[in-house]
This record gives sequence, C-alpha cells and structure tokens, in this order.
Amino acid sequence: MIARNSQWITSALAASIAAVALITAPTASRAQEILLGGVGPLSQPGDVAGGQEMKWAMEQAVADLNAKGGVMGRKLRLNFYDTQNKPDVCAAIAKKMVQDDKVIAVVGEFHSGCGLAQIPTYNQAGTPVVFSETYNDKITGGDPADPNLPANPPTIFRIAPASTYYSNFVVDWIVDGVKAKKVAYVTDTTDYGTGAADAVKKALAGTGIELKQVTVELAQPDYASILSRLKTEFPNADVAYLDISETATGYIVTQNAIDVGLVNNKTICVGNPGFRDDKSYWRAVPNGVGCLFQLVGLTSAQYNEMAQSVDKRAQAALGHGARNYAFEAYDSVLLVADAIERAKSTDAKAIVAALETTSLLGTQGKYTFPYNSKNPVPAGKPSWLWHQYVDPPLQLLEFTKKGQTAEQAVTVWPPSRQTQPGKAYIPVQ
Amino acid sequence: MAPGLIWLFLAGPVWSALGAVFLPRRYRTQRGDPQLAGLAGGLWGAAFGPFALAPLYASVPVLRRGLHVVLPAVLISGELLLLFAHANPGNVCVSDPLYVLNQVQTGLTVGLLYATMASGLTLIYSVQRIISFTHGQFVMFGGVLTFLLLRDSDLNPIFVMPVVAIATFVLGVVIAKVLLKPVQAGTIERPDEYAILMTFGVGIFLTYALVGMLGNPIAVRAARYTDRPLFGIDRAIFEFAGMRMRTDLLIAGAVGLVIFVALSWLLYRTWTGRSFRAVAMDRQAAAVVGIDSGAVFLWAFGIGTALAGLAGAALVPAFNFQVPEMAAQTAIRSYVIVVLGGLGSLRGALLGALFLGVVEALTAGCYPDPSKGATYQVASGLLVFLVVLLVRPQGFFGRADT
Repeated sequence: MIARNSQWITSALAASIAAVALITAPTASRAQEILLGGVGPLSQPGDVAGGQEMKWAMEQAVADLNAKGGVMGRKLRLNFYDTQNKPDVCAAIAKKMVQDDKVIAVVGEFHSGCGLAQIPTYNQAGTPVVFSETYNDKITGGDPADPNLPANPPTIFRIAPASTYYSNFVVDWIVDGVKAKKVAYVTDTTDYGTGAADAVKKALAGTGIELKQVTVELAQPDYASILSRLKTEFPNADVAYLDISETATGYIVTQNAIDVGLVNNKTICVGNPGFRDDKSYWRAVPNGVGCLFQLVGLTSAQYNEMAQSVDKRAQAALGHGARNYAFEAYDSVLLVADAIERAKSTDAKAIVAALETTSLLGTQGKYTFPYNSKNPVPAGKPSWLWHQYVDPPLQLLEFTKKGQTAEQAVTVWPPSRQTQPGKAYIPVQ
Repeated sequence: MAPGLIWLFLAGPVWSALGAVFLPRRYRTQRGDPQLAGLAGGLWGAAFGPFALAPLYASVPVLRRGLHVVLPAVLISGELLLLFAHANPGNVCVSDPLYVLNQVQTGLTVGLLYATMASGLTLIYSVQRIISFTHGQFVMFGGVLTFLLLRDSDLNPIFVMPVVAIATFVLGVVIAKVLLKPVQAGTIERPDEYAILMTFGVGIFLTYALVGMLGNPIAVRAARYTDRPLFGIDRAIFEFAGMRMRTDLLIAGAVGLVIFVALSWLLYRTWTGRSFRAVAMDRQAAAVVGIDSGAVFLWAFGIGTALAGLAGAALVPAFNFQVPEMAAQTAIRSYVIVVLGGLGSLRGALLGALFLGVVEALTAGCYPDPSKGATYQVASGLLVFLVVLLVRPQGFFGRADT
C-alpha cells in the first residue's frame, strides 16, 4: 500500500511539474525572444496595400532568420502596429512600443509624416530605427524649424531614397535625358508631397527649365478641373510629372491628366511607383500608354537569389511579385538582425554602432551607411545623407504598349540600365 | 482708391447687414408684412448700398421676388466678378472665356450626377422625414457592385444598372422593414434620433463590409462607357466649339438626367407618386383616404436607396471610387444639396446640385492659387451652403416650416 501511495505521489508530482513547465514555457521562451517593433499603415488614410505587404515581408524576414537559428541563438518576434498614416496615432504607437513593449528596435513605416511623428519618441528613448519607405529628407536630415527633429538623429537610419535624391533622379532624366524646357508638376499636400515639391524646385533652379507646380488633396474622386486649369495656364509642357504619394490617387490624377489633354503625344507623363501594379494601373488608367513610372527597386531580371526567393513567396501569398517596399521592409529586419548579431548585444547603443558599420547584402543591394558618427556629413553636402543608404536602386520605366506588365516595361533611365541604349523616351502612337 | 475698397464703403457686406436689419422693421411698421424685406434689403444693400436702400426705405414698395431678390443677386454676382477680374487680371478665368465655359460645362455635368445622388435622399426625407445616414454607403455599394459585375463581363455599364437598382432596392426595403420599423410604426419616443443612429450604424457596417469584401480599401473604377461602346460612341474625349468634354462624364450625366426625369414622372404622374406625396403632406389624412403609409414608407426607402445605388452605378464608369472615402464624400454633397434645394423638393435638389457643381468647378478653376483652389473646392460648396442657409434657411424651394 505504501508503494502504491508513493507511486501515486510520484505520478502526481511529475504531472504537476509538467503542467508548470507547460504553463511557464511560453513565458520563459518569450523572455528569450528579441522583440522588434514593426510599423506601417493597415487602414486608411494610409496606403493599406503598401502596409500589408510590408508587414508580410517583415514576417517573412523574421521567419527566415528564426529558421536559421535566430539572432544570437534567440528567436526574433515582431509586433506590428497599424500607424494609419495619422500623426497622432503614429506618435502614440511609438510611445507604446518604447514604453510598454520595450522593443529592441523598430523597422518599417510607409509614410513620411508618420515617420516624422514617431522620431521624437525614438530620439528620447534612444531606440534604433531603420525606416524602410519614408522619403522626406527630414527623416534623417532633421528640420531646423522643429526642435523635435534635430539634424543627425543618433538612432535613426533610412534605406529608402530621400525625397531630394528621388526627385533629383527624375530631374536628371528631365534635364539630361529628354532635355525638357517646360515641366508641369503635380504633387499632394502630404509631408511627402511638400518635401518633394521643394526638392524638385531646388533641383530645377538654375537649369533654365520652366516649372509650374500644383498640389492636390489625396483621395478625391476627380481632378479634371485643376488639371484642366494647369493645362490652360501652362500649355505645351514637355513633361507632366505626376508625383502623388498615394497609389490610388496617382492613378486618378494620371487618367484625368490624359482626359483633359495635359498628357498627350507631346507631353510625357511620369507617374509614381504604384504604376508597377500593372493590373490595377491598366484598370484605372486605360489610356496610360507612354507613361513612365519610377521604380524604386529592381526588375525581376535584376534580382539576386534572396530577392528571387522573396518574390516567389510573394507571388504565392499575395498574388503578385514583391514590391520595392516589401523588399525594403524585409531588408530592414535583416539589417537590425545583422547589427544585433555583430554587436553581440541588444543594447541600443551597441546596435546603433553596429548599424553604422553595416556592410550587408540584402534583396535590394549592398547596404552601407557611410555618413555616421565616425564620418559626419561634410559641410556643403545635404544633411539627409546622415545614416542614409546612399545607393538605393532607382529606375524610370515606360509602358510602351497597352496592357504591358511592369516586367515588360522598358527601362529608359539611368543610361546604364536603358533597355534601348540612348533612348530616354520611346514615342508611342 | 481700389475698386474693392470703394465697394466695401458704398455697398458690400456692411450695407447688406444694415438693409437686412432695418428694411424689415420699416416694412413691419408701414405695411405690416416684412416678408422678403430682409432678403431684399440684404441683397440691394450689398449691390448698391444706400443708393438702393434709401428709395426702398422711403417708398416701401410691394416687394417682388424677381425684381427685389433675383435682380440684385445677379447684380452682386456681376460686381464680384468685376472686382475679381480687376484684382486678378492674369487669371485664366479673366483672360479666357472659353476656359470658363468649359469649367461651367464640367460643373453642370458633375452637378447632374450630384442631383442623381441627392434625389434618393430627397425622396426618403420628403416621405419619411428622416435623414438617412446610409445614403453615401448605398452610392458606394452601387458603384462597387457595378464594378464587380462589369469586371468579368463585356457588357456596357448601362446594362447592369437594372440589376444594381434591384439589389439596392431590396437592401433598402430590408433595412426599412427590419431596422426602421419603430419609426414607421410610431412606437418610439424619439424617432428622428433613432433613425439617425440606426442609419448611421448601418452605414458603418455597410462601409466595412464592402472594404472586407474587396480585400482592402482600394480605388475602384469600372469599365468605362466608351470602353464598351453603344451606338458607336467610343471616343473618350470629344471637342465641341473649342470645349473639351469627357464622353464618359457626359454619358453619366445623361443617365443621371434620365433617372431624375423618371423619378419626377413617378412622383407627379403616377398614383404611386401621388400616394408618396400624400403621405409626405399628412400621414393621417392619407390613411383616411385609404393609403397604407407603412407600405409607402417601405417603397419610399427602397426607391430612395435604389436611386442611390443607381447614382453609384452611373458614376463609377466615369469616376474612380475610393473605397471607403467615397461614401463620406457623396453623403456630404447629398446633404448639402438636399438642404440647399429645400428639404423634400426635387426641383430644389436639381437646382442645388447644379449650383454646387458649378461653384466647385469654378473654385478649382479660378481661385488665384491653383493648389489652394483644388483644396478649397469642397469647402467652397459648403461655404455657399452656409450663406444660402443664413439668407434663406428653407433652401431654394423649401417651405418656411422645414
């Protein structure tokens, strides 16, 4: 009987230990995880398609890293938050991640205004951040008029092209490629748009090119009135640069510009990277033959092995290939993980120091941040170069036939990537 | 002295306010009936200041709408246009009359579409005395349904409109029967608030149901009328007398006009329409003569929502629908038009819609800074709305008691 009793006690003890282990195991293993904060828009007025794809890409990156054993032998975990492209929400989420979640680092963000709203929190907390799709120069360049956005923010990094760099790219094409004399420029009233308008104006100053700029509100059903006015007040433009930050609005503006005759066989239209979604583009812009779009990123023919893998998975999961912002989001996670691994630490300062010495091949190319605390931005160079990936892939592609996919579109700029050498624009009927 | 300053001293808002305040008092003491005096005093004061007010004050003539309201309104418009032209000689609206004509043409066409959107709301209000906060969502629903039906077919958008109308009619009847029954039955203490809250809730549900159905918020643009041409109309743009017009927009406007005419015929030439108007005038009296107000309630809501759906179906081949923003944008404009034209007045809704369309087009087209003009486009309509309500609270054709 005593033996039976002790057997019972032993079994009960074993069961209790197992139960405790089961209950506490997740907590115990969670304590070992490295928590990253991910940010992007999952609801309007944010670019929801962009945010969803960024989230997916970050999750892929985390899964890929964890499949290889994680970082420093620890699993990565991603807490993704919907920033909605509303500055008050963005700021609140930054605080939550820093104060409540205590994330090790933050990655992502699609909208510049949202990124700018988060930066004061990260600056104060010293949280390392890799912004992946925010273009406004102020993200890394600071704003002299805003004490909450100092220049050289110590923990902020960016891998998307800065507005000035992005605008200058198209300006280079305008000046050296098609040698335009008159440019009609349409952008929006967001932080991206106002930054881009300033950047384009500065870039074209001194070139002798006439510029007429107009800003519009996002998400209106029709822009024909304002575009018709632009056409009347500024006739015979060589280029209509329709630089709208939100994809759906960009489509509307482009088709309306074609409808009112602002874009015609003498005026070349340049749109936004959203044209890369060729199915949506042709549905919304059925007359959009001859329009150019900037591609931040690479065509599939230019992908490395890593990019091909992500792209293939995107086809299966999302129904289309990965966009540039997906690749950037993916790479932003890789960059943070690489920095933690090299620093052998999750200490914020150590991660920042490691990020500054990054030399990592991602899906979009080899990342470095040449301007940093050891090599400050020299006087005379723009302040946004601080903690900036200085060689993001940029191309201008042209839809030369109706219904063409983005992969079939022809590269017209930069000269080193032109599909038809010497052709900065291919006239279409 | 600048013409603007001269106008402010000798006419303008100060004299308008003085006329609006003092002329009715004069009429009350001299004629006993100050009707129209406030409006006439305000308008003539703004037009010619003391030079017009003094004779009116002295002679206290019988006031006529045409001579004492419409005429000074036209004169004020002319004065403001001259002042604008003087202040902005380089503005395209001053230097290019054809451009102005083009903008007015665009405004009128878009206005017709707005009238179609608002007609359903007008019908619902006139019969049920409730403002439906699902209206914008039904317009969006009609547009999205049209987009989905056209996506996998080669039909011209006009052919799917009956399907959209029936679908939104059924949806409207179900909502009225299930959710708005207490309002119709009179079993609820505060029917107006109940109707607002209920339709508001349904509107939110419908919005996010559509967002969920489409996968994520997107811009929806159905195949255009000219992509699937009827009667050989396949040119997206046609030019006439120097004006450049979008064919799809014109076709959408024409469809809107047909819908509007059909609604007017229904209301004024059929027994069904008479029963709607009878219930709108006096529900109890209508019941006495045998009109089932419950059935009228359901039919009115159903037809009102069908009209909203049809408006969406007509619009989506011409405009992009941003889902879900389109709902709020169409709703705001519809409410403005319905109140501007006079609650319950179909004629007023049409006039209000055309007026709003032209004001928006001219604001975007003529405001000195083009960027601000685009931004102020919607606000301009609301500003005019406020001014009209201040001057004539019942709208263009509403009754003074509404």
